[in-house]
Order: sequence, then structure tokens, then C-alpha cells
Amino acid sequence: MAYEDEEQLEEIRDWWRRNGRAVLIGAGAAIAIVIGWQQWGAWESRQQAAAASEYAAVLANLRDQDANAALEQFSSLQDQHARSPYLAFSGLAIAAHQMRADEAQAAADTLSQVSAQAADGVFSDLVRLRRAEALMAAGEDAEALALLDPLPEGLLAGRYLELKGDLNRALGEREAAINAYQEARELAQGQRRALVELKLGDLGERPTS
Amino acid sequence: MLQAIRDRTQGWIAYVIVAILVVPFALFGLYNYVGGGGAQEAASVDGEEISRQQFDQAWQQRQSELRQVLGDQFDLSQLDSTALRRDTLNELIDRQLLINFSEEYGLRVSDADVVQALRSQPLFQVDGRFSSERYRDLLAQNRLSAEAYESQLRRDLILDLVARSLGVSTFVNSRELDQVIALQWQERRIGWVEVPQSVFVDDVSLSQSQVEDYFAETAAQYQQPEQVQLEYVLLDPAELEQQVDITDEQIAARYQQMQTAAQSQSARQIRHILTETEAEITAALEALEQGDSFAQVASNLSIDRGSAGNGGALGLLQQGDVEEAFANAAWALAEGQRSQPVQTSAGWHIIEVTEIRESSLAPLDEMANEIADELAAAEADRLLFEQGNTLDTLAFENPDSLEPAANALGVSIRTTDWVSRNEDGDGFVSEPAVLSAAFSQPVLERRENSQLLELSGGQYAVVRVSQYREAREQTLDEVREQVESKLRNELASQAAQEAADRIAGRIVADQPLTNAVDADLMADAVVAEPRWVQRGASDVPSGVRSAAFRLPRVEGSTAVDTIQTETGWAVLQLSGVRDGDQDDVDEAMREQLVQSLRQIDGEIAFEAILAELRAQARIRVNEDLFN
Repeated sequence: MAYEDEEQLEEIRDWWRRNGRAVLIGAGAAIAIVIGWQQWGAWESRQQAAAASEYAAVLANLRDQDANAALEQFSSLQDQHARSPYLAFSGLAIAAHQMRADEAQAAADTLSQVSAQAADGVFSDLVRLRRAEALMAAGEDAEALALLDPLPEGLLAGRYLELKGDLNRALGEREAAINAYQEARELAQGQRRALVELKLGDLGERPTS
Repeated sequence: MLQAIRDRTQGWIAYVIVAILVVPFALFGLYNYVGGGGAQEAASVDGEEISRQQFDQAWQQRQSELRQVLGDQFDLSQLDSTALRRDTLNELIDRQLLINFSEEYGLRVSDADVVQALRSQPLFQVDGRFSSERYRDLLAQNRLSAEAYESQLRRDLILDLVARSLGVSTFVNSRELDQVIALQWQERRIGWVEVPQSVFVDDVSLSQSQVEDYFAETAAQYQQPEQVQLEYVLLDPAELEQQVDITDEQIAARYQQMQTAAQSQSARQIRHILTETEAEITAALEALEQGDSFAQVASNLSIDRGSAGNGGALGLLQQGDVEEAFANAAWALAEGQRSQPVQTSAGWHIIEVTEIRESSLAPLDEMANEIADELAAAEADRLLFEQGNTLDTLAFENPDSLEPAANALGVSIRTTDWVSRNEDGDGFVSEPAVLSAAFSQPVLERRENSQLLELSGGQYAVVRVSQYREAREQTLDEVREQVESKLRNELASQAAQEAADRIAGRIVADQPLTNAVDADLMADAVVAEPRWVQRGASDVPSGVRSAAFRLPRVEGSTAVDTIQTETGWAVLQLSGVRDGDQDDVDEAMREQLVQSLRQIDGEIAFEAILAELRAQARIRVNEDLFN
């Protein structure tokens, strides 16, 4: 029996001589990965906190009517937090402020700078719509119209089509405006739908319903 | 054998074996977390589970909300519960989508925001201002700590962050606003002539063949649906109450009971001194006897901290509020009297009654009628329950007849007239439960007794179908009156339309409308000469108004149209369109319009973002929830 144990012990030692290095490296790598993962998590959390406070600062500056300071924070978000939803929130909030201050072209420029990666593109169709609205307010109808293609999937499509109708009407394209409004009517609801009906009626188109 | 195992499992080998054993044990517990959610899972969103329990809770809540809104009309079986359940689950899924989104991107709210939200909650405000006292009180009432409440609030704020951020970022494009104002405040110059069809009804003469042809075309409208006649046994609490006799003895006995109850409910203001040991209480008693005041002794010696500082006062108590030994002693005392030491599980007490509030009962003869009614109602209730059981059992055991049940209960079998599935009848057949039972499969097709039905007013019934007739088309003679009246109206409407068309043909721009109206119609037609009208003008018939605002714009010309109205036909003439003037809309009105457009836009944006998140997520729904 003792002999058998000796033999097994020898086998294990032998195995360790051959593989010990690999095992140690593996264990070391595992520890490094765990530590690295934790460090990375902490770093990411710090990044997210930083983005959140930049956004808070943007809102505070807008409250104080200081759009330039807000734009500076926005461009710092742009450089350091291109994936953050706060980038999209900030861009949209600043643009809305600029629109209210009658700076439609500036609003369109702000929106054009919202990175397409913000929140992995969840907000990009919305940002595109707002940008087209700003361009329309700035009188850039053709550019606005071009921006509305392609149509997004789902709910926003109703607003896209309505804006298309507005732009075509302004450009004197009555048929195209009617077509766009008619499609928009299918997707719009409530008060928005009533508005589409109003606009359609004004073009001499009787409601189907 | 065991010795052999023990001998070998030492040192290195033991560690290896333990290491091997650790693996299955570790993985065993893991199973519960990784897979096998199965029936317990309502849905999962990107791997995050929404449990069955969460869903059930939300569903309960949804039902009670509906109950609150619909009140007595709430009846789940009348609603599309599958759609409602799906809706409930979708709300949970949306919430989970937002949770996942805010975790992935580390959305957060600042402490200042949490404080701000807390202070603006109307719930915590007194006279419109935040009151920290009220805040603490409300939390204490709901057994919440401030930390727990604030972290819950923070969580809600985070979930709300996307919607709020989108809300503040809406704007109204100034050119669209101008357009909306131009349209909404647009005025049109319209005149109209209403030609009521009632004028022509008397002139219509109907020939026999006309009526027959018309009926042949429209016979399908006069189909009579399938109908049944019902037999039923009814248990009515009001009838039962009449049958119940209540004796004077019963009334007297009940009054006696009420008196006893009233006594036990009488409340007493009580104060006490509590000590741990008999020796201490004796000391307290001696202090009192030496003339120390009760309050003083209580504050010095009583170990009941709640009352000691308060002169020993326990407040207004009822007999059931306190331990039996305490109650016996306290209720044996007269007002102002003090007890000897009494032992309870808390220790030793000296009790004093400072006030007795008897609950008073009116004398028997004043209450006799009330008691008799109450007893009769209770007895009727009992009878109803008993007879309901008998009826239920006998109707079930003899599915082919109501007679055994009716005989056993000594009531007669009643019958109804012919009723159809959607009958809008009154009395017994107006009960939705009766009709839905009458046309259910067992009752209609197998001609069995229904189950025991619960009706409004606490009535119960069992119904069965005694006769049935299929849906059929009625003959002309049965419905002649309806057919003729309908045809007459149709022909009158045609005549009115022809008259309107004639008038329309005669209208000349810039000439009064009356010139175009036939002389013999002048008395009955309503003529309104052209004037400027707003979109919402209430003094213009709504049919005319909406038709006029749907006509294509005219410039320097007129447009004429004929339309059908509620009372007949109308001719309308449009001779001008002018857009709303931006200056006519004041700042406040403009702001209101902007706010409402922004709000809709914010909602659309939020919905759209949710839809986007939904499209990107892997969502698995447990379809068993809807079967």
C-alpha cells in the first residue's frame, strides 16, 4: 500500500514538473482578469458618473440662458462620452433651447453633431427628425426633406411623414404633400391626427373616414 | 473497507478528491439561477426575468384599478381579459427595458434631484410647503425607513429620466406653428340652405308593389334572431323576509344581547402604575395612601414608560383592549375609584378609573321595530342560503326538470316570454347572467338546468329552456309598419336631395341665396345668407360647417356643394377663405398651443424610444399566461 502511494505521489510530482508553469500562469492570468474586470467596471462607473454630471451642468447652463457654456460641455461629452445617452439628451436639450431663441440653424448644427453611437443609435431617428424640423424652421426645406429619407420603423414614421407633407406643401408639391399626409394619418393618433386632418383638408382633400 | 478508504484518502489525494466533489455541489445550486425558470417566469427581457409573481401582482393591481373606475359594472368576463393581461405584461416589459437601459448606460440622478423630487411631492406638503414632520409621520405609518423610501424614489426617478429628458427637449418649429394657427383660426365665408326631408314625407304615396319590392330587397334586415322561452325558480330575499315571523320573545332576547354588548363596549379613561414586583407595588400603594398624587407616584415608580410621564394615563379603553385580569379589575371599579394591586403578565398594577363612558341604548319599545327588521333580514338571509343550497343541489341532481326543486322549496315555477340573446328586456330577463346562462351550451343545446345564478338585489335563480325557435326572416305582414316608414323616409330623402340639387343649380355668385330657393319651399327651408364663419362656430349646423371646411380653397370664385344632414339635405356655398391672422392669436393662447404640441411630441418621442429598445431586445414571453 505504501508503495502504491509513493508511486502516485511520484506521478503527481512528475505532472507538476511538466505542467506546473502553465498552471501558475493560468492562475495568475485569472487573477489579473478578475482585477482588470473590477478596475474596468470602476472606470466605467466613473465615466458614467462624469457624463451624468456634464448633462446636469448642460441643463443648469441652459436654465441660466448660457448656451455657449452648454455647448462647451456638449463638445466635451462628444469627445469623451460618445456612446453615452447623455450626449443625445444634451444635444436635444441645447437644440430645443436654440430653437426657442430663434437660432434654428444653430440648433440644426448642434443636432448634426450628436454622434450616431450615442446609446448605440437608439436616439438617432429622433435626432434626425428634430434636425429636419430645425432645418425647416431655418428655411432649408430641400435639405430638411432629404434628411427625412429613409423613414424609420414604427411610431416616429408618422411624424416623419407629416413633416414631409409640411415641406412638400411649402415647396409647392401638392400631390406629394397629400400623399405624405395621407400616410401620416394612418400612423398618427389623437390631437396629432386631428392636425394632419386639418392640413389635408386645407389641400382640398376630403378625409376618408 | 472504510479503513482502506481512510488510509488512502490523505494528503494530496484527499485534496484532489475534495476538489472533484466540489464541482457538482457548486453547480447544483447554480441550476436555480441559470435555467429552469420555466413556469415561474412571465417573460424575460435580454435575460432579465419578470417573474410570474410580479406579473400576478401587476394583474391584481390592474383589476383593482379597473374596479375603481368601473365600479359595479366591473365584470372581468365582459372584458377582453386576454388583451388586458397582455397589456399588463407589456407594461412590465417596458419597465424592464428601461431598467436594463439605465443599467447598461449607468443613468443616474443626483442627490439634489432626489431632494427636489421629495420636496415637491404634494403628499408631504402642509399648506403647499414641504413639512419634514409630515414626511417622517407618513413614513412611520407605512413602516418605511427614509433610506428605503429615498432609494425607491431614486429608482423611480432614474426610470423616468428618459421620458423627462425627451420631454424637456421638445420644441415647436415656428413655421409649423404659423401653419397650425393659420389653419386652426381660418375663417370661411359660407351660406347655406337646409331642406328638411320631413316636408316631403306626406307627399310620398306608396303602392303595394313598391312596398313588396322594397321588402324583398331588404328582408335580411328584418331577421328575427333565435329565441327561447324560459322556466325558472327564483329565490328573492324580499319575498322571504315577508314570510318570516319574528316573535316578541326573539326581539326581547336580541335586545338583551345588545345591552350586554353595549356594556362591554362602554369605554373607560384609565390610569395605572406598573411595577415589576409585589414589594414595589405595595410601596406605591403606601405612597398613595400617604397622600402623594397618582401622577407623582406613577412618574417615580411606574415602569410603563409610555404612561409614566403622562400621569399614568392609558387613555380611553374598551374591555377587549386589555388583558383579562386587568379588565376584570378595571371594570369592577366605580368612577374615581382605585384598585388594590393586580397581577398581570406585565407585572403588578394599581388601576384607577377616571371616567366612565356608558354607551347608551334606547328603550326596548323604541327599538322593537328596528330589531324585528334586523332579525327578519338575518333570518331571510339564512333561509336564502339554505334554500339556495337546496335549489342548487336538486337542480343539479335532476337536470331535466325544475319540478323537484320547486316542490321541495314550495315555490312555483315561473316562465318568461320569448327572449333573444341580445334582448333589451326588463325584469328577470334584463339580468345579463340570465341571458348568458340561457344561451350557454348546456342549457340551450342539452336542455339542462342552469347553475345557480346570482342576480342583482341578492336574488338567486335556476333557469332552463322550455321552448326554442330558430332565427327566421319575418313576413312582410309582421313588419309592414317598419318597412313602410323606412321606405317613406327614403323616398322623402330622395325628394329633398333632388330639391337641394335644383337649388344648387340655380345659385349665382353674389346673388342672395333666397333667389335660388323654390317659392313653395320657402316656408320650410332654412336659408342662411353668406357670412364669415370660424371653424368652431357653434351657431352653424355641424354637418354644414365640417363640409364647408373640407371644400378646396376658393379664390375669387365660389364653390357649391350638397350634403346630407341629420334632418335632410343642405346646399352650401363657399365664397371665401381667409387664414387665421397670427396677430389675432394672443401670447397666452400661442403658448398654450406650443405646450400642448410639445407634450404630444414628448410622448411620441418616448413611445418611439421604447419601441426602439423593444426592437433591439431579446424578449421572451411565456404564452401560457394568456391561455
